[in-house]
Amino acid sequence: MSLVENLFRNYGDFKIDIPSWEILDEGVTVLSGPSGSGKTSVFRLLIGIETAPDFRWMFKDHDLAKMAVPQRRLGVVFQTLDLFPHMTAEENILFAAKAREIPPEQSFERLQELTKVLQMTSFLNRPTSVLSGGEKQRVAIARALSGDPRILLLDEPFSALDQELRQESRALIKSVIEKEKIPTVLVTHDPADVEALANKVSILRNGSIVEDRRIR
Amino acid sequence: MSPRNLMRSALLVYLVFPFLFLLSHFHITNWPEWRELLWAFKNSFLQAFFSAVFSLLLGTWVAFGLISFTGGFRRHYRMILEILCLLPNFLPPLFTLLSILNFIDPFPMGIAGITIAHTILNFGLVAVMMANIIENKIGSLAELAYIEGSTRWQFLRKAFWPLLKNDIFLLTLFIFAVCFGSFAIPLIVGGGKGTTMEVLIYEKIRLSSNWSEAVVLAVIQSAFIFAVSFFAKRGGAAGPSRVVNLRILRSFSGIGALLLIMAFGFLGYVQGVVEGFHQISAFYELQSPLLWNFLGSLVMGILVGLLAYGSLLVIAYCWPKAWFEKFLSGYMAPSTALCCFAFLIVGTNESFWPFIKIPLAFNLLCLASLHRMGWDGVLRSLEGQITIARILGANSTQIFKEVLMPQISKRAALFAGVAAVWACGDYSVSRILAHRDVTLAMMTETLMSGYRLGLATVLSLSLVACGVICFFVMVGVGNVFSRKSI
Amino acid sequence: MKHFILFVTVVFVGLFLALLNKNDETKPQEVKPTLRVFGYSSFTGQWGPGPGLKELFEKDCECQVQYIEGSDSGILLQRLKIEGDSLGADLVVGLDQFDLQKALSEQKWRELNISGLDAYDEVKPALQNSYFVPFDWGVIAFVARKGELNQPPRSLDDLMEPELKRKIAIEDPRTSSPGMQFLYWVVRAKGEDEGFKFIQKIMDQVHSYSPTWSAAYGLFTKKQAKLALSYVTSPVYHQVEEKNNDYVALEFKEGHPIQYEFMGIPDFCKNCELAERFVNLMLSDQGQKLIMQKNYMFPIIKNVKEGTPFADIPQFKTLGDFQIPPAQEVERLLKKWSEVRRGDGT
Repeated sequence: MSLVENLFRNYGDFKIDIPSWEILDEGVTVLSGPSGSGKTSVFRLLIGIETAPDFRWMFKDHDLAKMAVPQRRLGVVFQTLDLFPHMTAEENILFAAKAREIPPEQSFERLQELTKVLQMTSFLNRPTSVLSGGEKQRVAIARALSGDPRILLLDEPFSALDQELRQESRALIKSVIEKEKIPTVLVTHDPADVEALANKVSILRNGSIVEDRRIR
Repeated sequence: MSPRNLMRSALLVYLVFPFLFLLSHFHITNWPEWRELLWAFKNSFLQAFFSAVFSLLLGTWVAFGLISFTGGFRRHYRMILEILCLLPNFLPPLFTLLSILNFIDPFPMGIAGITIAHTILNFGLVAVMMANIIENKIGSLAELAYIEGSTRWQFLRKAFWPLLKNDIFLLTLFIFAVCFGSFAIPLIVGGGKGTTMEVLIYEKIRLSSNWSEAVVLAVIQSAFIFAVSFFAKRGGAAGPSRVVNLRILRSFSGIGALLLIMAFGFLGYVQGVVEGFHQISAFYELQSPLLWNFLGSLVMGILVGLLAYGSLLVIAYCWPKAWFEKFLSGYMAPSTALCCFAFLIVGTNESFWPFIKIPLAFNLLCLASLHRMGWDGVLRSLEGQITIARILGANSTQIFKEVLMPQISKRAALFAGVAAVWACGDYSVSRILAHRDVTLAMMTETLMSGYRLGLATVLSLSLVACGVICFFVMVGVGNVFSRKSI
Repeated sequence: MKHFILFVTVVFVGLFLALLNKNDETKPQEVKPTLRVFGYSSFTGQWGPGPGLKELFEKDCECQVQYIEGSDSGILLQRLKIEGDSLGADLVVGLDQFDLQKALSEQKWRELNISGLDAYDEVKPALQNSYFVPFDWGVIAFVARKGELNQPPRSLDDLMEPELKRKIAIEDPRTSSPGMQFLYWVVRAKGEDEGFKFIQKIMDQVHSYSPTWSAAYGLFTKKQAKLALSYVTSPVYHQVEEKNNDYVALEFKEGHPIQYEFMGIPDFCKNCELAERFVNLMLSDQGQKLIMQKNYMFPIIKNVKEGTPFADIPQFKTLGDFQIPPAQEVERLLKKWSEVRRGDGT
C-alpha cells in the first residue's frame, strides 16, 4: 500500500484537498469522478508536473513526492497518448527503456514480451503517426511499462476509442497489469472502466475524495 | 548549474548584452526631456499600432486567399504565392518604399503614409503566418462548420475570433514590435510625425553624442514592448495536421488583392531593374568585387542562418520554462545603431572579427522576431511530448536529441533561412561593423549613395538570388540534421 | 549523409577562408607599413575615388593603403570618439564643415602644413584652419528635369509655387549633410526668424525629408519629386554616365551654400608621415582629378577641371563667408528645426 498525504493545492477558483489517500500495491486503484472534479489535477500532482508544498507520497520507504519527476520512475499514459510521431512503435517503446538506462539486451527482451502480450507484432515497425487509435494506445502502454516503472498511471486511456475497441482494450490492459503485477492508478469518469478494472475506487468531487472503497 | 540552466542564462546574457554593456559603458547622467520623449513615443506607438492593425486586416484577407490552395498540385501555386508575399522581406526597405511611392501618387505623408508603407511591407508575412494558424488550429472546425451549414460571418464571430484571439493578439504584437522599431520609413514618409523613438535615439547619438540618453530611450522602448507582451496569452494549440476543406473561409479575392498590390507595388521596382539594365556594362569592370561580395553575402547569410538555427535549437533545449518563455516573447533588441556600437566597442574589429560580430549582432536583432513568428508555437506544440519524455525518465539531452531535434530541425532551419534572407538584404548592421563593402547589400547602398540607383536596383536582384540560395542551404542543413538525429 | 555534411562544410569553410584572405589582401604581406584611411563608403567604395588613390599612392610609397569604412560622417565621428586610437586610423576623410567643431572638441588632431595651393577663391576661407583641409567641394543646389516645370524656381521663395506642392525632395538635416546645408542656407539667407518662418511654410511643399541624400535623389529620379536638393555637379553625372542631358541645376538669387569635404590626421596616427603624403596626393593635380571624376564634386585647386565637363558647369553665386559653425549652434538650430517639424500637421 502506498500512501498519499497532504495533497493540497489552491488554484484560486478551485482546490484540491486530499489529506490522505491509499493506493493499492497490487491491482488498479481507480480515481473516478465527474468532469471538473479535479481528477486530472490530482494526476498531474502525483506525477510531479504540478507541485503541492506539503505533499508526501510514501511508496516502499521512499517519499516519491520529494523526488524530481524523472526520479519518481512512473509509467504514464495521458489521454492524449503523446507518442513521438517521428518514431516507430518499437522506437517509442525502447525510448523509455533507454531513458531508464536499462541494458539493451534486457530492454529488447522486454519489448518482445510486451509485443506479445499487447499484440503489437503487426505494427511494431510502423511510424506511430500512421497507427490507429487502438494501436497507438497499446504502444503508449508498452512505452509506459518498458521503463520498469514503480507505478503505472493512466489518465482516461480509453476515451479516444470507440465502444467495441474499449472493451477489447480494457481486457488487454487488465491482463497486462495482472501479469506485470504493477500497482496502477487509473483516472476515469467512465463507470464501465471502474466496473472492468478497479480493485479499489476513490470518488473525487470538488477536489476532495468523498468515497473510497475496495471492490475486489 | 545544470546544462539547461547554463544555456538559458547564456542566451539571456547574450540578448541583454547590448543593454548591460551600454549602460555600464555610458553612465546615465541625465534623463531625456519628457516632452521630446512623449512626442516620439506617441508617434512610435500610433504608427506601430495602425501599421499592425492594417497589416493584420490585409494579411488576413490574403490568408483567406492562400488557404484556397491546399493539397495536390495547388500546393505549388501556394508556394509561389507565399514567396510573392514574402518578397518585400527579401529587399532592402528603400527599394520597396520607392516602389510604393511610385504606386500611390500622391502619397499621403504622416501616420497614414507610415501605415500604408508598413502595411505593404508586412501584410505578406502576416498572410503566410495567418494561413498557417488557420489551417493548424481551426482547420477541422472550419470544415465541420461548413458541413453543418454555418455562414462565414457566423463562423468568424463564433469560432474564428474566440478561438484565435490570442494568436491574433500575438501576431499583432509581433508586427507592432517590428514597426515600433522602424527607422527609415517614418523618416521618409512620416512628415511631422516622423520623429519616432528610433529616430530620437539616432538623433541623440549623431547630433548630441548623448549616448546615455540614447541608451535610456532604447531601454524605455524595449521595456514598453516587454510590458505589452505580458498581456499576451498563449496562442491556441495546434490540432492534428491534415488537409482540410476551408471553403467557409477561403476567398479568391484575397489572392486578387495580393496580386494587385504586388503588381502595382513592384512595378516601380521592375521598371528600375529595366532602367538599370541599360547601364549594366558598368558591372563589367567590377566583376571581381561583385563575385567577392556575392560570396561575402552568401557567407554572411549562411553564418547568420547557422547562428539563428543554433540559437533556436538552444531555445528548444531550454524549453519549457515559464520565465524564459515570457522573456523571449517580450524581448525587444535595442536599436540597430546601439546594438552595433556595443559589438563595435567590445574587442577588435580587424581581420575575421566582422564576420563574427555581424552575424552575432544580426542574430541578436532578429531572434525575438523569429521566436514570435512562430518558433514559440512550434515548441508549445511539443510540450506534451517533452513532459511525457521527462516523466519516463529521459534527461534533457535525450529529449533534445531523440524527441525534439528530429521534429524541429526542419522548422528551425526554415526560420533560420528567413533570418539568412534578411541578413542578405541588410546593410545597416554591416555598414557599422565592417570596414569595407563585404556584401552585395553594402555594395548596393554604396551604389545608391553615388547616384547609381538604377545599377543598385539591378544589383538588388542578386540579393534576392543570394537570399534564395541561403534559404535553401539552411533548408538543407535542417534536413541533414533532422535525419542525423534520429 | 556524412559525406554530404563534409562536402558542404568543406565548401563553406573554403569560401570563408577565401573571403578572409581576400579581405586581408590589403594587409601588409611583408613588413611594409600600412596607412589606414578612415572614410565614408562612397569615398572608399568601388565607384569612389578611394581605389584609384590607393593604386596611385602604393606605386611609390613602399607601403599599403587600407581603407576603413565608417558609414556616414556622423557615425564616423562617433566611432573616432568611442574607439579612439584602437581604430588605428592614420587619416580621416569626409568630414563636412558642420562636423569640424565637434571633431575638434572630441579629438586631438595634428596640424597640417598646407601651403602654395592654387585654390579657388571659394575654397580659400576653408583652408584657413590648421587641422583640416578640404579635398573637394560642392555647391548645394536644387536639381530639376528640363521642361518639367513651367516656372523653374529662381529663389528660395519660388519654392512655394503651387506646382511644387509636395514635389520637393529634401534631406533631413538631422541625418544628412545636404539637409543641414539647406537649413543653414535658409537661416543665412533670410535671418533666423524669417528663416524658420520659411522652414515652417516649406513643410507643405516638401515631398519628404529623406534620411539620406541617396533616398532623396532616388525619389527625384523615380519622378516622385520634381526637385531634389543636391549639387550643382549632379547633372554632370547624368551627362557623363547616362548620356542624359535632361537634368539641370537651378541657380537661386540668394547665393548657394558650399559643402566642403575635409580630411584631417588624428593625433594618435601611427603612420603620420604617410598620412601627410596621402593628403598631398589628394591635393595634387592627379588626385584632385580622380576625386572630381569619381565623387562628382569640384576640385579645390585650379586648372584640374579644364577640358572636362566640369569646366562647363555654370558658376553659381555662393554664400561665401565660410565659417566653422560651433557644435552648440548646429545643435540649437536642429532642435529648432525639429520643433517646427513636429508642428507639421501631416
